[in-house]
Amino acid sequence: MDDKPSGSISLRETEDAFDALMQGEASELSNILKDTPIGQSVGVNVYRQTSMSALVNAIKETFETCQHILGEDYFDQCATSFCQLYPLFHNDLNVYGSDFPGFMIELVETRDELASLKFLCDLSSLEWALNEAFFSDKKHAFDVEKFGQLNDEQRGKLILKLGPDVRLLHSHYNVKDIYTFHKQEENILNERSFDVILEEDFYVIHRGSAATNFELFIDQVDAYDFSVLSAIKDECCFNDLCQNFAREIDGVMQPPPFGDYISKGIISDFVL
Amino acid sequence: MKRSSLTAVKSAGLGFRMPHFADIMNRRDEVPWIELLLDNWLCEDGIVADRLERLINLFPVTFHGVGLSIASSSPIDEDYLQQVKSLLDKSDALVYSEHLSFSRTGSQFIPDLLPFPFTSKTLEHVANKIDFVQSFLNRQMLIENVSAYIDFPNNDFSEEDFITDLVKRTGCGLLLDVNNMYVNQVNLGRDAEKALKHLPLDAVQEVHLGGHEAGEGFLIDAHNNKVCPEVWDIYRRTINLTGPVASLIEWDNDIPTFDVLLGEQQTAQEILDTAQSEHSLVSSEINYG
Repeated sequence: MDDKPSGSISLRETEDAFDALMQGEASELSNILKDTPIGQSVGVNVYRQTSMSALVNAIKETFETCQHILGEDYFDQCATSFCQLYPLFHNDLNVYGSDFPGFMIELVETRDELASLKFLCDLSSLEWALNEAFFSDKKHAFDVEKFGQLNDEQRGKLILKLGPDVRLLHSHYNVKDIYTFHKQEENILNERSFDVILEEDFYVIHRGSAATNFELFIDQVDAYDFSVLSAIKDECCFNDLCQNFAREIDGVMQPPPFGDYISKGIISDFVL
Repeated sequence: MKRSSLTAVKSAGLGFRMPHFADIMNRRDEVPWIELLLDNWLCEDGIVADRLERLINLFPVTFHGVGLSIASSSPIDEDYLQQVKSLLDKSDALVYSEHLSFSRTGSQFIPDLLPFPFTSKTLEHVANKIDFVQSFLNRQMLIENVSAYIDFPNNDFSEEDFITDLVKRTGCGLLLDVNNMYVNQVNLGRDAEKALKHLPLDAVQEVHLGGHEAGEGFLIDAHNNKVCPEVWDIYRRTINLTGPVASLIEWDNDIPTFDVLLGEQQTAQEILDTAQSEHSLVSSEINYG
């Protein structure tokens, strides 16, 4: 819109000046202001700091264990760099930070002091998965009765659905142990050390069955379960799941343990 | 258009924050009404929806938004507004309020309430947007004066005259934040007393009270402290002029114990009670004197 009478500042100019401020460039805003009792630079700095700290605090809250490991000052520097690179595109700070695990990968690859902390990439992925699981939609109980009414042809073609809260994570470290260790305050206070083990770990992050009160679970599963659940996530049909993942147990070929996944709330629905 | 219905609740309420969820559920008789930060409750499902349902079953609620960005140059985000409408309708909200500021630029959201120039053009622009929002929601909205740390040259209006014209043009209500008035007095040299004389006080349907943080020669509206004596004074003068009005304690950072928050709420309630009894006395003198 043309909102600029002669001599005054337009809304668009004001917005551009604040955009520049968020990228660390304060002069554009300072140049369009009048003097005040506290001074332009103080005022501009307040906006820069309060806006940036709101973003940084959102990152600190979500990636709490990463912060414990890196220390508050170092993490603040990292988070500030992240926030300058990745603007907020949604007005909900709860969903800000999806790019942070990717940012951590770049960080540990480029900073010598982080060479021994490569597990932070997977740990940040775990923390983001927990955040997503927490804020995800409520899931409904699997409709067993409706499932039982399907004929063989319908059942073969159906697509099972993971719960809206379910996130799958393939890690190269024992990140659940690392995460759990750092969530215990006494371990932090007593500066206890923990073991980082290089190993293939598979996790399912979820909120349990529909009846639970939004408690978060990190279930460690084996490579087989992880492959089945990944195939379900990729919308593999029921027949293909049964054929591709059948395995011999006590001399009998068995399909994947769909009943277990359903009872834990990991599978919560199906579509025909 | 549905009028705001908060005028019937002339008591002191609390801005609800999640760390106090258990406290407020256990001590609900001590809290007459609560205000929810609208943008935290837009999820239609999940834990947010679950907790919202429990709160709205127990308390009269108002919703206070930060995401509308009414002073942005860009049009109102209708998807966002539809979410707001759904939430207000399903919650039987007493009030919907927003800030006279922007937070959305051409390329991003900035998590703050940013000021803009008070010109004839921006007045027309913001008034049109308020008209649009009220029409879309089919309800009156309240607009809140914000704290600021900078000021623009060549304004056509003072803040209070800008607000007065907005109220006249759109029929919106006013949410008066008396802490913001004090912060702006210190930071920008605006005169809170003068502003009170010029603002359309008959449009004030809610008052916000909060604490600020003192910097070196300036104040930050951090909502992280008790309400200071100077702000309580402005509040008393406001209530003397408006009569009892729904009033709210906001505390967003360094969140205290629930008892501390209730102490602030009780102080506001005492001021409202005093104003109410004086108001009743004046009324009875008029009727029988």
